[in-house]
Amino acid sequence: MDLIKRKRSIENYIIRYVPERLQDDLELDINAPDYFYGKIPNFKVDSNWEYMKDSNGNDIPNTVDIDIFLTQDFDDMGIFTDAVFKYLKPYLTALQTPTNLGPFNSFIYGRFPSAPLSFYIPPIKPVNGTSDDGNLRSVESYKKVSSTNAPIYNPGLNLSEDITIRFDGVTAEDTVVNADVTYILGGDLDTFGNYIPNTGVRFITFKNEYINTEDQEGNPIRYKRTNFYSPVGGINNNNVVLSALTKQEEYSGIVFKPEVESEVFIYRGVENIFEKHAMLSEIKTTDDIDNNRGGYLRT
Amino acid sequence: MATGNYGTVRPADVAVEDVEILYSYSQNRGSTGNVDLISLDPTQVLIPANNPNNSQEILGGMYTLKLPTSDFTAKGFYSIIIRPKQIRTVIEDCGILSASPDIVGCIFNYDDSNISQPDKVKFENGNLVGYRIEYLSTSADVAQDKIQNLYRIVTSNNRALAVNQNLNNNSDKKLTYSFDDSSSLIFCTLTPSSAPSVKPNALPYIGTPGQEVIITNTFFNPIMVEVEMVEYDDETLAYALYSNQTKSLDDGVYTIYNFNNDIYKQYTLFEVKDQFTGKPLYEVREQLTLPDFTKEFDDITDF
Repeated sequence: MDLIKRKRSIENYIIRYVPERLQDDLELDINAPDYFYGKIPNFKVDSNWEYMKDSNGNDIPNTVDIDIFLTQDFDDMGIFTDAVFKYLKPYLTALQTPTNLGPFNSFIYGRFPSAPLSFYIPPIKPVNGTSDDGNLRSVESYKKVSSTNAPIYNPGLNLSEDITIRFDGVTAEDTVVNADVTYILGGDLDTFGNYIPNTGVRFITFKNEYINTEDQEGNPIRYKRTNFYSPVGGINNNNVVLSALTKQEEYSGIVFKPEVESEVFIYRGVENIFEKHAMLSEIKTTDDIDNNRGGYLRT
Repeated sequence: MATGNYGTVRPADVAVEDVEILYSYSQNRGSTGNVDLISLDPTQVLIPANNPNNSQEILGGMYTLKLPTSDFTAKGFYSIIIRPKQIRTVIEDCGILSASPDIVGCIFNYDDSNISQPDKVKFENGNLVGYRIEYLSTSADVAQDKIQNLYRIVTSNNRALAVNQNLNNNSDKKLTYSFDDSSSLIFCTLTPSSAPSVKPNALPYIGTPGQEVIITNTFFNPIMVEVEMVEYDDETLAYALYSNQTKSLDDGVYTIYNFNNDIYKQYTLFEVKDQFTGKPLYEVREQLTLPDFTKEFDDITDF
């Protein structure tokens, strides 16, 4: 962080002049609110000791003005290398594992050389969010109410592409009369093809509550309010491993100039053996040594 | 292995709404008390300079700090910190993308009440790129809430919907995320978070679900301005040396004027004499507490 030092004299802001209208007044009331001699008013005053106004008719704040120059840096990040974390075996046992640390945070406590991956996985935390009702259509049954053309939701009906491994469908409708549809996307199935509770992502679309908003291009959009919920979070034993990220400090701050590293050598027939000599014939100045063929020659 | 970019420095053209200003005051450099920081509204005190060729175009780099005299005219030292604005929120979850399991990220919730309405636009797709994320401790039993010396940089952010991936391998049926602009969740990729070559879906630590974070823009480098308010400078000392002065022989009022001939200081000159012998003991110059406006320079010299 840059440190800028500035010095300002208070005298620059103290009123020393007396308006002409008051110069013959020998009994000036120094306690009057519009008496400014020797004072620093909070708002700018003119030569007549009256507050100056901006174009909107507001008093103009009296300020100490200091010019600064703000910059933005982009720096070479250097080079990082990931190294696979190798556990020191045997693993910590449950008895040895610290239990007084709360949710384990390796930023604070570092890494325990014998702790297995599961030690670093945070406890299960549900995920909540809101969405539009775009997924509702995927759980409608194939029938519609003939008179109104309204969709029919059939609780328990699995509408996923592969009903042997995944449940996409409605689990409940109108828990409040004619108000909501609860459905699951990506639910698990047991061996009998039944939905396993508390799996997948649960959506609740409220039939009569509409959200009016705009898309990113400013076009108006309208949809039924929808909440979604997952009982488990996104980090688990299956999608993370431990790895150590090390910065190669010897390369910190180094910006590399482009270099040509070519293994290709053009075969020029009988003239092949003269290749390097021929290259030298292209060099006229010492700068050419560096610049020839994008730095091909190393000096 | 990843290679960084070339470095450069550019004049910042940050909007004042993305700036945070704090200041502290001390009467002298020897103050030993705690530093109390007070916030200033940057929209009121920081004015960007405009391009002289186009009044609607910010010049970049140059800003004027307009410190109100109601707060900044006591003699002493004002330390003013100008830093990028901070947004505080909570990591909703950490997870991977359904389509690209090797891409890991933090998930934030657009509807988090900690995010003020003006800041919500920063969570729209792509707007958080380049922002810095700092982490607060997840344990209550620490002396310092902030995890020091640690940060990550956002490399992308997109709205994402939670989806369950159902594969034949039952152990892989877990929650993932899919880009979907209708969702309130924001999937942010961070750096460093590159995966090792052995297993493509590994990650260095990027946070914990439920952890509080501070998200800060990187639009400019923070600076500190130390403003020393002084009673006298070269100019006021020059009044005493070179400006007009009068001495009233009738009542002994000695007046020093500034270069505009306004009364700057007034003194009464008198002698202290021995009450019995009348022998002069001291010559005294005593500052007047109330100005004597009958000694205006223009009045005295207006013959």
